[in-house]
Amino acid sequence: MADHVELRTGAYLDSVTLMQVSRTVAAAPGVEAAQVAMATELNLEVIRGMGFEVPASAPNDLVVAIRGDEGGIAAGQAALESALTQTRSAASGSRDLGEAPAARTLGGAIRLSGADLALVSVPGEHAVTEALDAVRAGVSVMVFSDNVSVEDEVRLKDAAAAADVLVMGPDCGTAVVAGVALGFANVVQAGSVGLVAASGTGAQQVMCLLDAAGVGISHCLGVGGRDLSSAVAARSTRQALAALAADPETTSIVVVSKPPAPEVLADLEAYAATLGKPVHWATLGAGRPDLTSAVEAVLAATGREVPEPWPSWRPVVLDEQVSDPASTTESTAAQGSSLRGLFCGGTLADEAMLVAGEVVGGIRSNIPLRPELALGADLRDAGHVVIDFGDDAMTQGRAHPMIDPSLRLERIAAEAADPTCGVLLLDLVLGHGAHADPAPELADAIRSARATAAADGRHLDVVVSLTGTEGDPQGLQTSAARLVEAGAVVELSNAAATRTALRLLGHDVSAPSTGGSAHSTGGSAHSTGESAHWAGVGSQAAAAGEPLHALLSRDVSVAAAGVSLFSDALRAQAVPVTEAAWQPPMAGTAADLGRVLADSRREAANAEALRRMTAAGADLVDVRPAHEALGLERGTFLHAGPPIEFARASGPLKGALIGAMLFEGLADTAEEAEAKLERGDGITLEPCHHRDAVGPMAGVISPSMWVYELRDEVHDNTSWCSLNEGLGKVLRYGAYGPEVIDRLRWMNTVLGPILQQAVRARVEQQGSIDIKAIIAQMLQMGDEGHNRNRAGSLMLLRELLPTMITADASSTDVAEAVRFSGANEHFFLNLGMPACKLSTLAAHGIPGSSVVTTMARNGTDFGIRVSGTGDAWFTGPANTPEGLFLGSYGPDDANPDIGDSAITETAGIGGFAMAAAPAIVKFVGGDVPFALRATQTMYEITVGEHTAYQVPILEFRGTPTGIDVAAVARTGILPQINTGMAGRVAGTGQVGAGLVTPPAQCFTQALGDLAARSDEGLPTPAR
Amino acid sequence: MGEGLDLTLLPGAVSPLVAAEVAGAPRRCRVLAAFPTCLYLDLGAHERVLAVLASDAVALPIGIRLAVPSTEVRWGVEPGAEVVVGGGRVRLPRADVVAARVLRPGRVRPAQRRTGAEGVLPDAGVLGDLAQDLTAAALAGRPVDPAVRGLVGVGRGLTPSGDDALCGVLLTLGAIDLPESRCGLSSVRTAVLGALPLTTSLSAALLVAAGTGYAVPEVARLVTLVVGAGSGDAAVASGAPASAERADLTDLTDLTYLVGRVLAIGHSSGHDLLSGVSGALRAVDAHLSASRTRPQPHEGAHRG
Repeated sequence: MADHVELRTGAYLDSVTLMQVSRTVAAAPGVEAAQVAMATELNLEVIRGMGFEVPASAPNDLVVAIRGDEGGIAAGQAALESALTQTRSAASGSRDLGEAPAARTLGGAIRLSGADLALVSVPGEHAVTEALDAVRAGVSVMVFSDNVSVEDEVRLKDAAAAADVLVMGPDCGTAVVAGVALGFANVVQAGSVGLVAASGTGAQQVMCLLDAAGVGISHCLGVGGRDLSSAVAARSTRQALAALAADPETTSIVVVSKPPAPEVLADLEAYAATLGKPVHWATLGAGRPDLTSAVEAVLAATGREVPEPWPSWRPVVLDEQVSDPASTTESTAAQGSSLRGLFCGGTLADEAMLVAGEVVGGIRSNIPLRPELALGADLRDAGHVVIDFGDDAMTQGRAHPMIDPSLRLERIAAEAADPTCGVLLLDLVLGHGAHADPAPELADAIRSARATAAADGRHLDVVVSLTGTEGDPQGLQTSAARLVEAGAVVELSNAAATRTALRLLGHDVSAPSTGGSAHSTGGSAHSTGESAHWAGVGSQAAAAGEPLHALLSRDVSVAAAGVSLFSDALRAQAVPVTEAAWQPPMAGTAADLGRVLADSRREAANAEALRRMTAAGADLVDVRPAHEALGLERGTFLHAGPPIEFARASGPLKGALIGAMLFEGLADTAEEAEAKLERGDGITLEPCHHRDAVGPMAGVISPSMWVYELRDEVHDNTSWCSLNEGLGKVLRYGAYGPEVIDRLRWMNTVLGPILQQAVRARVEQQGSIDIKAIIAQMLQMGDEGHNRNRAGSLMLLRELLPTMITADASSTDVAEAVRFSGANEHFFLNLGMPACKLSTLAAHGIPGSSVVTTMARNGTDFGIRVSGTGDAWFTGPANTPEGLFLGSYGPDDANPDIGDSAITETAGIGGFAMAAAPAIVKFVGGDVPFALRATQTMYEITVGEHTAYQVPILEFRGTPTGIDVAAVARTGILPQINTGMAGRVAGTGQVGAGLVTPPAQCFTQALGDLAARSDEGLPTPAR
Repeated sequence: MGEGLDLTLLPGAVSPLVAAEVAGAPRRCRVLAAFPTCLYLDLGAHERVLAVLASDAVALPIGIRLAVPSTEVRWGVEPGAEVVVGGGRVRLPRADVVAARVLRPGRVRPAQRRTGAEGVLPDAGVLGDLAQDLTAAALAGRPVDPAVRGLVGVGRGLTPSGDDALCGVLLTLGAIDLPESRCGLSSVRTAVLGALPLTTSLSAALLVAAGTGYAVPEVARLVTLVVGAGSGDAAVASGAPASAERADLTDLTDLTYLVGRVLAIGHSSGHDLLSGVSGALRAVDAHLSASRTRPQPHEGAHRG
């Protein structure tokens, strides 16, 4: 017997899917125990509790733990792979070349599919983020997730009301929209009764009772269990009522709720009276009718017959093993005196406590009716107990008991051995979303519980409240029959089931008087004198004609994030579903994300950033020495990336600085240069970006070097970049041999002056050269503007040639300058980069904007700057690119990522435009589908598309532009950068080219700073 | 389709207009036409047609609609073949389409006429004139048979142009909350029912649906909005320039989008249908305007 434990990163799956996978693996031959789960604290506890040793892990890792003999572990692993493959292919389907990858966020899925309803079932701490996506897209959303704070709920619902969409939830288990069952819902007849439900199982109970009485449902709009609390103040209920009031299919309305806040209920009743349709109240509470009575009142009001009695199923033979619930005859065996209610449905548990409480007094519970009745942490008591296994506290890190019944099944066994337990009262809820066939498992548990008690000389009665319809996939009759076979008494009415249980305990119970006690409001009578606020909402809805963007009158299509079980249930109902390939955000970012996404300035600020980025111009206006253009003083060296001291500099940066020292005449030998740089006397190192300049690779600019000067006249900005030295052994890759220095001197004395004359003459004759226009064209000619600049370089040369060849220089020098420029495929890079810098510079400094305006590396650190966080750099250790190598170089020769050239990706080209340059894969690695996918994936993390830079193969879609820090943190997708690779050792030069991403921490730090600066908490402007 | 999904069962959402046949006793039905996105099945009577629709097909109100696009289904039948419909399913050679739920087809909602939004409709042409004449006759209580027969089955296509325009008239009359339009709708519907043998089965089925306000969802929504989303009073505004009576901006954006969607239906079906709507609205507005300017105060004075 051995243990196999492994961690997999980047393999997020939802808990329900993993529960199914775990079961499959555990069932493989030779496997003794198995658990496959995300490495959350709770799951790790469970796995360690099973005796496995789990190595250090992060919550987004997948843990695979299998115990068995050698063959068993192999079989378990095989079962795992096949189960995982199946879940993936079911979710993703086959994908064609160039087809967009599945969206990572709900917002993305809505955009892709045009869905008109959204479904969120991701873990609670992330649910609001997804739900806000839907609200912002103008789509109503059902939030199945629980563990959402009440503050978030209020915020979400206010945003929804402003957008005229409905938030159903959080913790909304049940909804039926135009005949489509969402979450846990029973298959009911179509009809004219509309439900507003602040209670999932309560709504299911009401629908099933109505269905049994032959009455159909128009819609059931869930609003979340807390909607009728004081804090939430019926925000969703009001909207749902208005929508049902305007819906022609609905003729009467029932509001179903757990005990509501009295003042909220009173306000709501007043509002309901203005709707012009009768509204009935199935709102539980002390002294209020139970759900069954409320349904009976609805039936009476609509002229329908009340079934007498409600359907129930009893064991055929009443031997001494089963008490006769109709009589209170004592059986011979001993029987405990306490009621033990074990529920999956919170409202059913509430109702049972209310009904039983009237007879036996206070009942202890994990969801007590009064605080003093709360159970301790062990959930044990010798008296009457009702437990809701679906409560938030019981479902953290595990599936709802309607899907995963194991906790309750354990408790049933425990109760069977408890002599104080007299009657077990259980609920079983059928329908979509629930366990595919829960009755047999529960029947087995009941049978063995009764056997355990009998073996102990005791008698144990079991009553099941069965909520379901004959149309449900599990079948009402079939399920009831299984339970009855096991010796249980089964009732369709939960209130009736509770009373039966009390009778079996020997209590004298009378059914409540029906009809009169339940009440309704509204109807055709016009009521007046309501509070202006309520009346206002109603008339607003009426004026719009079809509230909620006509949600109730259309055949819905759904976008979903979270548990795929619900999507499968929708597909089975022929509802088109688009699932987001949702993953948790980067570890530890949930709180910051919440604050940044709630920043009221963000959306407009990011739109402005994008507008400025795409509007910025980039005209080549001059070529001149850096000391002149940038005011660089002797001894000052600009370099790529974030600030760094020489001691921490990487090989290529050190090599380039040594070369620049030699070139400037500040040292005669490399050793001397290095020593001076190490001492730092008279030497200043400064990032190019601090002077609005950029430099490729090491990016070293010294005062004597010549630079291109580009202008953005729209925003009155200027940017500079060094002249390109060509490929091979060059300063920017850290080479500093004599040939490198000689070339730099030639560039200073010959090339620079000729280019200067050429550019100035050209500006005089025809105006400046529009670099932005060249970028737009080169993207349509197979370049991406970072690692492939062939077309751009030729176009630039075409612009410059006429004035280059007429420059005042010897024909030999002119010829050499032209040959040098024409031979260099990256001639254009040093113009594309400052053009991109001008674009991002324009977008910098917008308060509230989460758009990245700088990405740069110095070979040691990767740094980013963000529009809304001022001049702060957020840095992390630079990654080493992966790709293809020149000659005999290999991965060990490569230096970590270096250069300011990632400014191209920051501005929406380079790696972000890879789809425009499929040939790039021959240079940086990967394949053509990868290039297409790379660009399409970047749309997930950018705020928009470039208006001038387009990708022909994507139907001339604009390139993804404006990296959003929040989107990066949320999706875990890092910007794709194409780059050259410098040799690790100073003086080596270029060793290859490849692909790289920034370290995640740049983005999580920036997000933290944005969160600290967010305006969340300030009063939001009145709408 | 992804692996792991049952390829032999395709859940479908069935329209209440054909739900009875799908749920009823199984029987053989002839395939009238087969396109990549849809199948048309003959349900027996001339005007009874069942459309089996992939999710990317035009959502006809007489269909059973799948949640998967045409790229993921192949019908495996040719026109003239027979398939079994009934028992809650349509049996195709490769898969059974199972009626998993009843959907809500698009349906116009009667509203008060408010002018101003009709400016989004394309130029109506001759079809519009014919539709206007028919609607005017219907609203005035004059015989409509000649005008209906001038349209039914006229033109090219599986749904001839005249029928599409006629659908536009029926839907417009159904979308206006006015006693005359209800009477007018009733007389046009009666005339259409008598003329159904003159056109194709599919077109006849769609005319019957339009007579009770059912249409492709985008069409139903567009007609509802064009009839009632403007801000002008038809009785006053007739003849006034449309720009003076604009619907609010968001509605107009929505409308323009819907017009684009409707124009994309068929080769010319969407356009022809909108011509019918446009012509019918001209007649409605003229009728309302005339009934206002005509004798009202005068009559009132007489009756004292």
